[in-house]
Amino acid sequence: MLYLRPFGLAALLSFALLWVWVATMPMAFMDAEYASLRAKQVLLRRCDLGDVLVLGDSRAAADIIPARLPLRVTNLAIGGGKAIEALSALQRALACPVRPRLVIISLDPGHFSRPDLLWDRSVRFGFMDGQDVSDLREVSLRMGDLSVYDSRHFALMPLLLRDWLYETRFPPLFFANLAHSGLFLRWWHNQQSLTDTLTARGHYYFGTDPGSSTVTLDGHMATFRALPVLDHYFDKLLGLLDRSGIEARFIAMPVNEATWNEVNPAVRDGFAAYLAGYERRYRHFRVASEIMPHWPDRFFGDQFCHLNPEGAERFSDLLAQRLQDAPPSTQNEAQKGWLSDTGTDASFNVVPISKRGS
Amino acid sequence: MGFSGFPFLLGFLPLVLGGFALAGRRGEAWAKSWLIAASLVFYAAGAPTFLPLLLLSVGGNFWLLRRMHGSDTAARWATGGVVVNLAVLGWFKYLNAEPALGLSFFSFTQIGCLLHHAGGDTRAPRMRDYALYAAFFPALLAGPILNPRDMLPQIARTEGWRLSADNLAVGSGFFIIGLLKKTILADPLSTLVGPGFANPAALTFFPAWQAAMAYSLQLYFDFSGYTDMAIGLAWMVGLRFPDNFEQPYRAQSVIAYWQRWHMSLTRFLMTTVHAPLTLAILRWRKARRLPIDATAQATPAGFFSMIGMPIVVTMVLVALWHGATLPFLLFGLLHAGFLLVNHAWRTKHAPALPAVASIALTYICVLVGSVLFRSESVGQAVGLLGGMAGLHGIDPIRTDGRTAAALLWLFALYAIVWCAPTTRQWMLSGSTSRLVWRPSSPWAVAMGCAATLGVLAAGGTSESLYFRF
Repeated sequence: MLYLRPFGLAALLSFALLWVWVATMPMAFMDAEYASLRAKQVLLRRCDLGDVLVLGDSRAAADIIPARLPLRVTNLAIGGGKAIEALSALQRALACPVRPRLVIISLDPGHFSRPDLLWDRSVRFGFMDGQDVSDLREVSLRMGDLSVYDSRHFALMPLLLRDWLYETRFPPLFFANLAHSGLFLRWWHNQQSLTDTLTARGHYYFGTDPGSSTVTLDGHMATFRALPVLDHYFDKLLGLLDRSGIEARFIAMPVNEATWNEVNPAVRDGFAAYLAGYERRYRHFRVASEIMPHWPDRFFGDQFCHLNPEGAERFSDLLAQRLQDAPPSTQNEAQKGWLSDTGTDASFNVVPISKRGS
Repeated sequence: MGFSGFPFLLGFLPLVLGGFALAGRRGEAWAKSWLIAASLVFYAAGAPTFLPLLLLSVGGNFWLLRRMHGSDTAARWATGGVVVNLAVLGWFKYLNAEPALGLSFFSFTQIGCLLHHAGGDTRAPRMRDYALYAAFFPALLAGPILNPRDMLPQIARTEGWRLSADNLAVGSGFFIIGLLKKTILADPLSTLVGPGFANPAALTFFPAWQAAMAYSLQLYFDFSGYTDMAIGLAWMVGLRFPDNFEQPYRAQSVIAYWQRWHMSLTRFLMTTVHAPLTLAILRWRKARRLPIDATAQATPAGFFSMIGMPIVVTMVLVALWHGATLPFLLFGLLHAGFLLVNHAWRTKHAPALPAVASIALTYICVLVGSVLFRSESVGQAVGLLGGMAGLHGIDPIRTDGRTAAALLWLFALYAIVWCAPTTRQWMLSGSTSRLVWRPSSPWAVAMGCAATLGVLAAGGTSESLYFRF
């Protein structure tokens, strides 16, 4: 027992200390996207959101630069984001005193048909809280679709226990971050990322390479079929916007030519039909772009079709022009397809925001 | 249920040890029954559909053992039992869509027991003892293959079935070291191994070597870590498992390598296949008045029949034991070739190479074999070996931080492989050196913190590659 007592105490104490560290100091060891997501939570908490909200996935997070848009925009899209995370963010935004006038939604087809990074990012990073996870559990069980909720499966571990471990930041779930960061070495970089993302009103880059010709998931999908639970959340998201009287526009982010050449027409057509169904159902929801705009490979910064800085600036300038020319209240069907330009750089048409007046 | 997963570490293990402590107070029968029940739960958690197979296998072999005791036809019963066990193994391993979990290990453990009792004069173990021997959870899924001569007397004893502080201290040490070997040393290597073997045709000289070396290290640390955990678990309840690894990458010949790598399998095949086959060949030659001395073994015909044949047969069985695929078969034949060259070298009394050269040459042979062992197809193996031979070009080593970190990591692992003591040496040497484990307070604190590290690392070491940072 002379050995086992200090052994047990050391094990318990060291684990407890680490748990406190993990729970209270995530900025010290998490990877940089955590800081960016934290910035979005800060913007939500401050209710510093402006006129336009961007909800969606990583492409929307990287491609839409609020600073280049004529309205006050907050980009709340996140890596691996789906309708679930978008609804969570919207619900918090609607609790603020001033509501947005327009919500831009952008999700690629893959984020309707696979769980992606729900547990790795959204839950582990705290973007979804215990209540969100509890709602997801309830909805998933009720619908009999556990594809998203149970996508991070721990063999033999009860689901409620798993949820609790995530909610309480159980240290082993963060071991990779702790090991790669040396426990605290990311603190300064993460603080800088937090400041940068706050300044950029939620925008942050993923890949910044000067071009990518990798075919992304969109090019490998055989067909488009929304998971029931993700469809449910998308419906819920649009329903909430509709009931709140907020205009919602679906704007698809561009994919590279390499991906476009591989896209199965059935995916594109199925996705278009899916969105068209919701256009008919909700008065305030419109699809305001081509379903899959495609741009030259040089505008993409990584293998996931995130625009690089040149591409993101070009895209945001086009979006700025669109928002200036056709404010939400005047948009109509005829203007669909405005992001389909794949030829010469169209951003020269855009008047810099600084010269427009306001 | 893997030893390094949360359900085992945080649920099953504490429960089993707690239950064993309570059961041990009520006596030997309770303690053994508790361990058998835990083993069945352990197996059912991983492969519920094959639990009846395990029960039938244990029950059937026990019935055979009972029939064999005192029987004049014990050897015949034993032969029949071996054939049935091998038939079941062959069916579920090679013909069934889903291979039965751990079948190779618990079948070989039981075949060993049948052969041990083949004389008919050895008393069959008690049912409870036999069930514990054949299905004890630490060795159930990945060995070591238990030798009845070592294990049955340990299990048959009636005293000492209590949770003791000494056993817990040493057993937990073995377990924690094994856990760290697996989670900290082996698992992160998958980021080098996976991409390398996924597209071997694209690998130039250095990346191909990096992938092969990373795999040989991953295999060693993973398997020896698992064995250390199994030894530690058994130790905690007072049982002593045999070693499975004895610094194999320090071997100075391929013969020595096989005496140090997966030792329980080698020992099993040596005693049940190689030695009987060699003996049968020697008897056959002697009956025909053919010479069997060293001079005869040096002739091509004598070498082939007395040394070559048993080695080739044994190594083909080693290959088939791992799987019925062409890469595994080539792996077995390649190692048979290495062993034959090694034996020929000895037979001809050729001069020994310097130790460092011997170790390097042996390791390169093992490395080439490991490429076949890991590959899913011959084409994949040829692609990687071609890269290692420089057939895909030789690009300069990249100088980015990631490559430097990977190389440093590999060097550190080789330093452990070639310079560090084995877990058994470290835990049980009895040396007075401060670097060797002792049941002292400083070591208790160090091992407690190491246990935390092991549980932490069970969460995985790879950050999501999705993001660029």
